[in-house]
Amino acid sequence: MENNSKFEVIFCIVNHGFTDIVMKAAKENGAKGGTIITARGTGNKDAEEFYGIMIQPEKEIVMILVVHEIKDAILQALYQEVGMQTPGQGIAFSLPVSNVVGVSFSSFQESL
Amino acid sequence: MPDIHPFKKKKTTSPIVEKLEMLITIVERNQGNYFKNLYEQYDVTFQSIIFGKGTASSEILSYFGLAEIEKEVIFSLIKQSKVKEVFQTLSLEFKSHQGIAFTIPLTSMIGKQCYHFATKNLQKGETHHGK
Repeated sequence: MENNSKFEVIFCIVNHGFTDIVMKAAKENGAKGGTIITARGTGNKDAEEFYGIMIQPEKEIVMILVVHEIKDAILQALYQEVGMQTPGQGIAFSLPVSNVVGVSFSSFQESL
Repeated sequence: MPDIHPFKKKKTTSPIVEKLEMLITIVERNQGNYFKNLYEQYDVTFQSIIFGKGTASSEILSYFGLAEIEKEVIFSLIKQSKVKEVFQTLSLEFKSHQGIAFTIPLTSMIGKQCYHFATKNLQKGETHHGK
């Protein structure tokens, strides 16, 4: 097993079709790759009508496993590229990962 | 001094609650069932497989138009005590299959029934694998 506690997983939920921007932002900051799952968002209907905005229901979730040193840089980039104020309307958060298998720590270290 | 918390329960020896972790496995398409069956040997009762897309980082792959590779993502709930065993098995599996796996600790869960289901507590006394 690799050096645990060094990894975090970033979940980024964006509107459908914005995953290219997410991955570009993540890769520029050292991420190796990500996995995309399609999902459906459930916005607050009343609030949507009140503010006259449409929340696109088709979403995509990008999961990116990164070493924790580059996590902040990636989240910062995601906020700027696909944050709530952009058409991507994305939110991103990271979770601590307790065990990892299948990635070599050294290959992640090279990107730092 | 009188007890200022009259409703506070007396500390009794509570049943040991074993912590759960969410195991997320990302493997190639059509490999999901293989790993699902593998995890079932380790008392994993809840699993769900979702189709996903991988974003390959290699430029050679995108040159061949293979930038997006179809993947399967398996979400499973696993007991913390089993994680080590599973990961030892997985590290061998990932020599022949491509994939990654990681666990995220769970902080809360609703429903006792749910918890018993996830920890396979219902079939108490049964041993599922001879270890």
